Formats: sequence, C-alpha cells, structure tokens
Amino acid sequence: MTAAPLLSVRDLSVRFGDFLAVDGVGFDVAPGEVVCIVGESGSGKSVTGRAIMGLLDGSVRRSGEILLRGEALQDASEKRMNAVRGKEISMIFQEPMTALNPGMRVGAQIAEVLLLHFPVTRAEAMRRAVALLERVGIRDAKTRARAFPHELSGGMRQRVMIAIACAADPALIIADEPTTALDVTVQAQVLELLFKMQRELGSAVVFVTHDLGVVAGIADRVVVLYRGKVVEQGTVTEIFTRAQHPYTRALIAAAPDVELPRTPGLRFPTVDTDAIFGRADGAPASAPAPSSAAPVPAAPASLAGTEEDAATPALELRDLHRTFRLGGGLLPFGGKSLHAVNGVSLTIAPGTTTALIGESGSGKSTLGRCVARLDRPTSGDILYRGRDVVALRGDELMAFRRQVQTIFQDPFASLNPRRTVGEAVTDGLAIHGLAGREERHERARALLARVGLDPDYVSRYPHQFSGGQRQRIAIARALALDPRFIVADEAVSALDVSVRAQVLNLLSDLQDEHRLSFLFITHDLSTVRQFADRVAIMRAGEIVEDGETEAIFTDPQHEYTRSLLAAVPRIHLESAHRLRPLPA
Amino acid sequence: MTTTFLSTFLRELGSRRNLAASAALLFLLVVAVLSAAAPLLPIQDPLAIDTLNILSGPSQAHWLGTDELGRDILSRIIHGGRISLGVALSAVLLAGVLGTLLGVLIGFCGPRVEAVAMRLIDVFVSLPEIFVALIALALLGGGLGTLIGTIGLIYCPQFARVVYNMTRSIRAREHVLAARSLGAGRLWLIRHEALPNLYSIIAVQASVTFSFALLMEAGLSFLGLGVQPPTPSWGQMVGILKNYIYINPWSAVFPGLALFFVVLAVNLVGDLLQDVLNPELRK
Repeated sequence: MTAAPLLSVRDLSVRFGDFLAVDGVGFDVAPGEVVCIVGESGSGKSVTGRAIMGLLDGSVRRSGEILLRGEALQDASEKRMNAVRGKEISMIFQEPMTALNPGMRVGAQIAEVLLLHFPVTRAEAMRRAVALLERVGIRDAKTRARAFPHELSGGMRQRVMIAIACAADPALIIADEPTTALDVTVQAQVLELLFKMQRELGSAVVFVTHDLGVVAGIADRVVVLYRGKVVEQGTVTEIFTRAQHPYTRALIAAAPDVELPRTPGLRFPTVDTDAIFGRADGAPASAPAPSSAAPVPAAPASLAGTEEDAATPALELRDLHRTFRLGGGLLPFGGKSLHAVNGVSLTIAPGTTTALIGESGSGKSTLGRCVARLDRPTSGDILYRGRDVVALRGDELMAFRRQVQTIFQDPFASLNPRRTVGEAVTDGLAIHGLAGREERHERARALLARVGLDPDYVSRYPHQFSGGQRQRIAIARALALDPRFIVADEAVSALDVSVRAQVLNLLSDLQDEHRLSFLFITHDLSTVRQFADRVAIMRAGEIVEDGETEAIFTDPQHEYTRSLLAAVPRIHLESAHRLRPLPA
Repeated sequence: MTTTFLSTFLRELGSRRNLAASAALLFLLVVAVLSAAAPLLPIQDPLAIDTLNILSGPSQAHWLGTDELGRDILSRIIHGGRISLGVALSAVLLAGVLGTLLGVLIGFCGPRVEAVAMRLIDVFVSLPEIFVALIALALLGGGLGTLIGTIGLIYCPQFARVVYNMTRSIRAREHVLAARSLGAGRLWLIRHEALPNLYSIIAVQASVTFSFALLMEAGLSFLGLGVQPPTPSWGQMVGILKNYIYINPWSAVFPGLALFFVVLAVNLVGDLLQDVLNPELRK
C-alpha cells in the first residue's frame, strides 16, 4: 500500500437488530485503485458499500471508522455528508430502474448533481449533462436527455447511472453489483464504459460483486467477505494465484470456467462452508450426501404409444410460434403483436441435456412454458415422445403432467409460502391421488433425503430455508412423480456458485440414474459447457445456432454466438480479458 | 412474509409503538364480551318502561340516564351494541365469504369472464351505497335479516375487487405455475395455492368493511329504515333521542360516543393489520 489511502475503513460493524451483517471489516483504497468486495449472498458486501456512504436506515447501528483522506465520515454531519455524496464519493446501484427517479427526465437528473455541487446555471448544467450522456456512449444525447428512465433499455439506464456517478468528478465510486441485472453482452459494454470513465477521471472504485469472473477482469485488490467478516484480502494476483484461505480457494475453484473443455463425468467443485467455517447456527444443515438408497416413487403411468424408445426423440419442436397480443383489450383485433417464439425447431434425444441459451426477452422462458404446457403455442408442433402435447386431454394430459416437470428460476417464488415443505414436495402425489396421507409423509422424507436435505424438515415452511435449500426442495417436488423430462428454467441462475455446483451435481446424478432428459434454459454460458450435451442459442424468438456443446464453444458459427462467448467474464488473469492492466 | 403474518401481528401488538392499537384491541374485546353476554349481565331490562322517569340525566339508578320512555340507556347501549355489532359482523361475514369466492373464482376463470365480471363489479362499486341501501330497505322493509343482507351485498363487490386483484398477482407467481405443471386443477389452485395466501389481505379488508358496515347500520337505523323499535341499536337510539336533545342532551350523546369509539378502535386495529401486511408502506 502507498502511504496515504484515499479511503480507509477500519473495524466497520453494522447491526440490524440482533443480526450482525458486517463484523469488523477493514480495508484501504488508494487513489485510483479498484478494490473488489466479493462474497456470496448474505456476506454483507452491499451493506459495507452503503455503510461507507452513510446510506443505512437510522435504526441500523454502525460502528468503526470510515476515513476519507483522513476525515472521519462516521461522525460527519448530514450536511457534510451531503457535500461528500455525489461530489467526493458517488454510487452506482444494481437496478438502475429503481435507482433513477421515474418521474424525472434523465438529463435533469444528471444536471441536478451538477447544480448541487457546482456554482453553475441550469442551462449550463443541462449542457454539461448532455455532454456527459455523449461521453457515456449514448447516441443522440440531446434527445435522450429528455427521455424518462422507463423509455431507456437496462443498459442505457446503467449508462445514465454512470453519467450521474461521474458528473461531479468524484474521487471514489462505489458500484454495488452494477452489472448483475444486465445481460452478459450488455454487462461487457457497461463494464468497459465504467472503467474507461474511471481511467479518464482517475477515480478509485469500490466494486461490490458476487462474480469472480468480473473481479478477474477489473480488480487491483480483492476483499473476500463471508458472513460479514473479511476472510482474506490481497492483490488480484495473490487472490487468484496463491490464495491463503481455504474458502477463497474453494470459491475460485467453484467459479465456472467457460474455457474449460467439456469433460464427461466431471463433478462441479463445491464450497463446503460447513467444513471451512463450522456449522452456522440456526440454518438447517444439509444432509452429508444424497443417498441413492432412498425409495424411488413408483413407475409412472405410461402415456399411450410412448414406450421407452431410443429412436423417438424425447422432445421435438417443429416450427413453433408463440405470439402475444399487446393492447387491444377484449376485441380480437387491434393492438400490436409480439413474436416471443418465432419458428423454433429443436430435437432433444432421450437421456440428454439440451441447453437453451438466450438473453432477456429472447423468448426462451416462453418456449419452456410451451413445452411444459403451461402456455399454448400460436402455431407449430410440440411432440413429446412422438405425441402432440397441445392435443393432450384428460388422462393423457395427467400422464404428461407426471412425466414432464418444471423447475423455476426463483426458489423464493416457486414455493407456496403457506405450505410446508413436506406438503410441497408431495403435492404431485396428492393431485394424482397416488398416495394417502401417511404414505405421502414417508415419501416426503425420502425425497428430502434424496436431494440432500434432512428428512426431519418436512414440517417446516419454505421461509426457514436458504435459497439453495429451497431450490433443492423445488427439485424434490419435481422428482416426486418420477418424471422423464425436466424443463429447468434458469434453475440455478439465482444461486450462489457454491450452491449452484451442488444443484448441478445433483441434477447430473439424477439424469444418470433415471435417464432423464433436460431442457436447461439459461442466460449463463459459463455453466453449460460442462453440463449440456447440446446447446441452442436463441435470440429474438429464433434459434440462431444449435449443435454439440463443444462444437459451439470451440467453433461458433453465428456472429451472435461469438459475441455471447466473448462477453462471458473469464476467471483467468490473462491480459486479453483484463479491462485494466494488472497491478505491479 | 405471509407465513408469519399472525406472529408478526402479535409481536407488533406488544411493542410500545403500537400502544394505541393494543388499547383499541383490548377495548374491542371488552365491548365484544359485554355485547355477547348482555342478557346474562346484571343490568336492567332494556325494554322496561318507566313513564315516571323519562329523559333523566345520569343517576345512581340509571348511570347514563333514561330515554323518552324511561328505559335505562346503559342497558340499551349494551343490548344495542349486541345488535349493531352483530349486524355489522354478519354483514362483513356475508360480504367476506361471498366477495372472496367471487374474487377468487373470477381470478381463475380466464380473461373473458374476468373482463365482463370485473366491469359489472365496477358498476356495483360505483353505485352510491346509502342510496342503494335506502331503496332496498324501503322496498323490502326493515328487519334484521334484510338489513344484514343489504349491507353485506353492498360491501361484497369491494371485497371481490380486492380479492380479485390479489388473486391475479398470486396467479402469476411461480408456485402456482409449479402446481399447474404437477397437474393441479382449478379447485386445487384455489384451495391450496390462492386462498391460504389471501387470508391476510382478507383480514385487512374485513376490518375496513367492519367499520363501514357499523356506520351504515347506524345511518340506516338513524333514518328509521334499519333496526325497528323497540329493539335498540346505536344509530336508532341516536335517531330517536335527537328529538329530545333540548330536553336532555346526554341521552343522545352516549350511544353516539359508543359508535365513535368502536369505529375508532376498529380503524386503529385495522391500520396495524395493514402495517403488518405492507411493512414498506409504514412511515
């Protein structure tokens, strides 16, 4: 470290009621330096960022020192803090839609910062705001300055946020997961912009993120947090090449590597926090290992004419269209239409995994819902084992429902908060009248054990579990009916890397044991290289390219596939992927 | 959040910040017990006429005085509360059960039924309540059954609308999709996925409706279209005793105060329910 840090955080603790969110965190930021604060959900990384800005609720207790060029900000008056915020330290938030004022034109929002901190006229502030918009790469800035936030795309909004953050030439920018809500190609552009601005202004950046790939591309130094404590800190080279702490090493090992060639049978490395830190009290533990001995539910009723047959594809889509009518009300005409799925054809062989990759709005979820018959295609055929899914009725539909299951993205939304975990996982059995109350209870225990959870948790409610555990419960629910085909819609995207690895390993095991077929819908290219047999790339309702996973990753044909692949943050420190030079 | 609705509510009740709401709940409990147990209480007969002692002020024998026929006002307020609260409660139950069923069913019946049914409900919600009630009661005559039915039906569409809107948001949740993908039919979705997640908002809506129903009953009985004499109700007592306000102002004030404090208490408890349900709206 150089002699005079710009920012010095010492022994920072933040307490929400009885919960210690940040526990004695300390680190320095030199002028012009990029420090990444890395951690999984609940590690206190965002709270740390906000605590520096003094942006916590009054009811939250904060202790420790926050020194900006030696000035103690923790004791500063609100008046002084207002002068610091925006001028000395500015902040970029994860979700620009909620961080921008929805009722104010974006140009005026940038001008506001200038008016607050500089003796300029409104006209001059507006002129500078337009110049800033140009600087952050917004074309036709003069017109765009008069737009409201909702009229801009997510990436453009984040550019506006960056313009606001840079408006007063701050010495320090705190960026709290600024690209997490963005698509991977947009993320790459926004990161590039942020660090171009950083270079030009010479600001220091505290970058809060969960994504080690992003860290590898931008950081000078890294602070690793776990449950509010600093586990380890050091230069980016130290952390990535010779980390001292087992948690840091495990975290880096578990981070998906898009450049690692597909190795059949490879297990995803997991982070065993229980072994590293000891059991956290309160949180239910995971059972040590899923036991294959757990009783497997009865074989499913056969769908007439759909006997196991390696020659018949598990799923075949032929020229599938799904069009939504926007506006137009009750009348069958008028309004605009949106082609969410526009002529998709795809074949999935039994027992294999096909990854469907697309960015937001590409229609991939709509496609998944059509496959699971949760939505109806406008035209085209969906053949499940040779049978037309749309035409299924009565008993045949019920048999289909048993064989095809969906796992959703958000384990907090996909479990009914009012039903116990035991009820949730055996709902399928109850709906199909396959087991009485007693038997369902036994099955629930077996299913929880199957996904690596303690069977005694059957009578708990979903809110008592962590995100990863909830996703396993959702998987247990999908398994209850012994399905043949699973549509996983961003099933691991919301999970921390450590938990994601466990869930992916579990899904692989299940596939091996039961010859399951997966339609694995995701926006995240980095996990699928190891997981999927085939990959289909979807954009604007159409599949632009599909093929064997390795072929797609090593020799992408379509330009869009190439840009997607190039945009994935790499976990390596090679200069080709760095947005900034490595620190000496 | 909804899972812990009741426990959060109870915890909030205990906190200092919500002293007024706790006091209001305690007050309502006392009023409810007194009303329910009115016939068993050692109080005077609310119908016993004492022509020698009419419109008297508070005294040892009659703590709150007597009315125009010499009946004990305290006793009539307690018995009247039994009627007023009973009518309001029954009306809320009617509105709640019917409105919830309507709201949930409409929410699960597809876009066309939805569009038509909700416009119809909008029509009912936009009718002036007291006007509709006056016409209904004038045509059908007074009587407890008609009164409860009228008030219940008047507040039913509002209930249906609140429940319907909540149902729509629940319907879009992934756990409902998950249940559908397991093969769940409409009835299962309503029973297991929607209703349990609606209870908290139903509780809030019921508390709001309860104070409206109480005031509606009072208004109608005040006008002589509601509870018929000699059976007492608070609004009817105010309505009759207002004629004697120059002789003895006390007599009309007491039933009015009873109404005022009960409605205030219901609103305080309702606000707390609302806060627990939507913590982000709290200041």
